[in-house]
Amino acid sequence: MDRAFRRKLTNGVFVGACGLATIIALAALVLILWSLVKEGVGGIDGKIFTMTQPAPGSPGGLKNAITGSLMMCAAGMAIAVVVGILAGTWLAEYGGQTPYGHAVRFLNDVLLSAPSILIGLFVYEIMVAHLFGHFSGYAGALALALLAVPIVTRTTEDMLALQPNTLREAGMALGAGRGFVIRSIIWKAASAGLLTGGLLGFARISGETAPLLFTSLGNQFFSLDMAQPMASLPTTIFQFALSAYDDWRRLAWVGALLIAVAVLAVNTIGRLLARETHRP
Amino acid sequence: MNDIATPVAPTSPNIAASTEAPIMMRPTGELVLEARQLDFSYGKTQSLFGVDLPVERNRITALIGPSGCGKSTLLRALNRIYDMYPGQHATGRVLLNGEDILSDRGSISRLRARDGEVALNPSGLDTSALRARIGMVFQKPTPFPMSIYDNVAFGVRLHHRKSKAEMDVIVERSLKRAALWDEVKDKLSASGLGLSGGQQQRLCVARGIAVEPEVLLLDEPASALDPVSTAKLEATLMELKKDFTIVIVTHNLQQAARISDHTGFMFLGKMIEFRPTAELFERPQSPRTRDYVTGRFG
Ligand SMILES: Nc1ncnc2c1ncn2[C@@H]1O[C@H](COP(=O)(O)OP(=O)(O)O)[C@@H](O)[C@H]1O
Ligand SMILES: [Mg+2]
Repeated sequence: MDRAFRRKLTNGVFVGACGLATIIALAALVLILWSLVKEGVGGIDGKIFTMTQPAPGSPGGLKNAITGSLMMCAAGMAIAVVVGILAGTWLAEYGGQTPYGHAVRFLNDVLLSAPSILIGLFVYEIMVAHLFGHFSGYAGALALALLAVPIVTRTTEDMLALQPNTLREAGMALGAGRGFVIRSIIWKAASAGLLTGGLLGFARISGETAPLLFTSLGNQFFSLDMAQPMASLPTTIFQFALSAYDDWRRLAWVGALLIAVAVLAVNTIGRLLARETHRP
Repeated sequence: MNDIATPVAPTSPNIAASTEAPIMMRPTGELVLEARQLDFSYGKTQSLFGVDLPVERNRITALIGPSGCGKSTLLRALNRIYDMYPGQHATGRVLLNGEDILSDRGSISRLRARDGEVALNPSGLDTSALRARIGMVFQKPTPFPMSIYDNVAFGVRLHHRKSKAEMDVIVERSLKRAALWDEVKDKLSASGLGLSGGQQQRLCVARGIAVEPEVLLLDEPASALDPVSTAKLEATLMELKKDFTIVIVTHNLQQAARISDHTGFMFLGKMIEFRPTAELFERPQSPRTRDYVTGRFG
């Protein structure tokens, strides 16, 4: 075999393998979405959004779970975005190369891959077992925040590091201080990337079940009080999907479809916004 | 002579001692900015060795030399932009209107901006006010991710509180001086990132002169531009020297010859020859300068 042929062959094999892997991944995705739609769409009606979860056999919806998920995700993301952007900015612009900075980055990476159930247990110990003495929406929000913080931190650092140093120098050459340059130029230049970090964080936490089982537990009644146990879509899906009742299982499918649609929608909107802000 | 051409470890002490004295013209005009016996180090690596640079008011001073000879380094010492990197430091003197801006003991109050926020760096020099007086334009255009208007207003807002009407006037005047007004006057609120490379660079010039600095430093500002944009930028600079003093680094000898009044030739971190441009190009005195301007190396 001559060299050119060998190279062509190798290239062909690897391109083929990549194509195959893509097809497998896409097929899995399509199958998942398809079964979600097939099983879920039929169950969507007005009651889903207006009624709380039913007893087996009676009519009901997911109002309590949807509300709880929205509130805990929103609170968790609010914490995660603030902490993550500040931490990522510090790593990228200030202390990232110091020993302390390296330690922070390492711990952040550990957190990034920590099993979410451990995060749930950790928050359980602190908030549920000691601080409050019972399950609560706050504990759920904190657990979700802890899951999203490392993602936002990491993305923020990476996105800021991508900004050219000459941009910082150009700001400082006009007499601006370092902090002002970061706030008014660098964050703006990296805004699409920062938004992506937030979206990744949201996508990560919106379907999390394990940490919520330990923290917010669930609540079969409608409640806006985050100091009390709180319902959420994932925990409700968990409970209903494993049940023996057909109507509960149908609601579980609907809940799963809602989460998938929400993540898809948020991602799409985010991408569009990012493209909009970056269009010259 | 060989001792210069042979690369010697820059930290080796004999490199500083081994050359003939630089050939410096006697300044005829008023000096705005002046470097005297300037040494500069990136950490342990010394990159400038006792450099002198006299910059006369309302003149264009060009710095030429093979790449790596320290032109950018010299420029970056003049507005202390290197301050933001720990480990880089300069010794010697840089005088702005006779005021030493390297030693932090100079009378800082005179460097202070007239109003606005005053940022003191740890060493005590008001670098913010210093940089309002010495502007800088970089090799690659660096428009900020904001509107054309806000780009130009950015520096002014840092140092002065202006009404909208006053700011409008400043923005228009700066864009006109940078020869960009006609091209952007209908889209001032469009993003600066949407301009062409040449326009972006003139936007950076407009942004720099909007704060009315005394000196404008430009580091190879045309190296990323096409010939037409380069010609426009050069015309702009020639026009600007009526109001400002310009120091420009260029690797383009024709450009230095076309637009500058004085030219300094640098080599291996030293100023070899600094003279009126025509003389330096037509009758270089140092053999090293002659080799460079006749294209025998570099
Ligand atoms: N950030 C830096 N860290 C260490 N050395 C540097 C740095 N920037 C430049 N140098 C060194 O300083 C010398 C002068 O560089 P520079 O001023 O950029 O040259 P020029 O602009 O004339 O091409 C070179 O030897 C270069 O390797
Ligand atoms: Mg350079």
